[in-house]
Amino acid sequence: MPQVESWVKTRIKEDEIEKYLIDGRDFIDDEEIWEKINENRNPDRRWIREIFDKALRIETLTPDETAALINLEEEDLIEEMRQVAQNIKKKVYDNRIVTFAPLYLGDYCVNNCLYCGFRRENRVIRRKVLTDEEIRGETEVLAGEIGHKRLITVYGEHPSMGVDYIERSLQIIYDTKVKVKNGYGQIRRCNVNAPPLQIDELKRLVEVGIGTYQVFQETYHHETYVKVHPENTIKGNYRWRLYSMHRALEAGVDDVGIGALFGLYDWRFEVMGLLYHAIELEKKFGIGPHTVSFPRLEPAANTPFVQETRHKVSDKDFEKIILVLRLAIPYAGMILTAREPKEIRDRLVHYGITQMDASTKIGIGAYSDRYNEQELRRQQFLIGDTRSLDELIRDLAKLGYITSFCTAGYRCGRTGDMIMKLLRTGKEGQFCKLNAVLTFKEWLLDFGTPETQKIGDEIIQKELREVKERMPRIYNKLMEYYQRIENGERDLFF
Amino acid sequence: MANETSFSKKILEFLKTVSEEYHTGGIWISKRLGRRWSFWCGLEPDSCLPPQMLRINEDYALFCENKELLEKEWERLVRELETLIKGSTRECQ
Repeated sequence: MPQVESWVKTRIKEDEIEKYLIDGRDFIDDEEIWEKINENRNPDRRWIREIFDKALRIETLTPDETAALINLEEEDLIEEMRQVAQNIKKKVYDNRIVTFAPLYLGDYCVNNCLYCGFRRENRVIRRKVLTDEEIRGETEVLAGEIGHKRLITVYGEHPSMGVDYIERSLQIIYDTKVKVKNGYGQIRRCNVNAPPLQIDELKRLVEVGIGTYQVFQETYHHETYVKVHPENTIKGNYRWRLYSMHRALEAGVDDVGIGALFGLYDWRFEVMGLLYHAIELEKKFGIGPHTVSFPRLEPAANTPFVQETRHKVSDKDFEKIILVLRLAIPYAGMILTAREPKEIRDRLVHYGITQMDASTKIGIGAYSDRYNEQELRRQQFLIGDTRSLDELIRDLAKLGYITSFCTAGYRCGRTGDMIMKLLRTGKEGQFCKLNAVLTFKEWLLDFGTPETQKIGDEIIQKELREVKERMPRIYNKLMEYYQRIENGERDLFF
Repeated sequence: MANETSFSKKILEFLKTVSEEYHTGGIWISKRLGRRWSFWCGLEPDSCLPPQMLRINEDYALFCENKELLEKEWERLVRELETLIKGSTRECQ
């Protein structure tokens, strides 16, 4: 215990907060946010349509514009907003959904957040941190049996999962290769959801090839933040967390992911908080968030807060959260995770979602242990969608989407400032389409069941016809690569 | 990513000239990070052709859309690029 206490004392570097403040203030002004929400009630219909047009030009919306969308009540305009959201997604990312899996590395935590199953004082949780061998075992299942190419690794805030551990785990994951039908199964992009880190620590993760670095603010509302994150903990420091992405971009991380945990405070405020965060990053670094996440609170073991919160988000409001975020930060990837049940995911995927997880297990060591029941004692919360990757792919194809395993940006450095430009101009969407075809074909050949191969091939044919029509100069090259993949080559990309 | 220094501006100018002279289309330098590449500086692709790589050294590579003409002059160009990269990283320290 004394070791843990001394580690905790070393975590927060005040100078790595203060340097970003302006006149001692952070960029979330609670009063201003509520003023914007209140001042933009009953927005003019013509103005709303101008906002739609602006979002379609892939320009970040202002706080006033976003507040107007939040306040939108007329069903016909909401229906138009659904259409706009779909069009934005199609323009920026085309018709693909990228899939990934979460990998929880451990559930020790020094914090005591009221809503979290892994909180320090929750005695019912069985604590564990994966060993090197266990990390390898989990990766072998994910990359060798399921066929994932992307992971998000999740770490608790605890000395047993400090930066040395995070760095080593990334190296193990990237080094794990599993023989599959054609060549090797391997994780090509490892995103990281970790506690706030120091700049020097983040530089170490840059060197081992970190993907997107995610830290969710949970709630942007200062007062609520203090209530749900006890003061004497690391997480109790609002600003240390708020400036995680600043430190990451300063350290050279290419892609950062922001998020809020919906259900802690009023959803309208949290949407505005996410927007202010994006605007701040754009202003300071010229790079906005690569992804935005919007998880809803889910039941967790021995965690009554979840049932008691006044701010539970209804399905109707959840849809609006997704629509408004899609328009407000139009270039950002949007992640709809397996926290949500199949029915919700199938319905909302149309409104601008770019990434979904599948074959998801969030128990520590759950992939290689091969247990299928959800065990609250081993999980941070309960997940709502337990579909396998094969099932999700089939269902997405039925809905008209092609699944993508693309990691091409990391193969050639189409990242950072460059990807921002390509996203805003719609060029990245063309790369997305081409690489979705190639990586999906790889997966179908190596991992797909016959039923999924059949429906998958149908959607590929549809995509190929579209490429031939819309990108005739590229079509022959795509077909050359496609045939090489059919003949057993792997990791070809545009 | 190269910081906005005089050296990084020089690199960008250099890449623009190379792109025009050797018809490379988009041309950019990426830095190797573990098993992946990270954008460092340059001009984004014009078309959607597969990126072609020319290795500068252990840490950096040049990517472009058409390297055919560039390859013939690569030995000379790579020396210039290395000098510019060294200058830029020194300036950033």
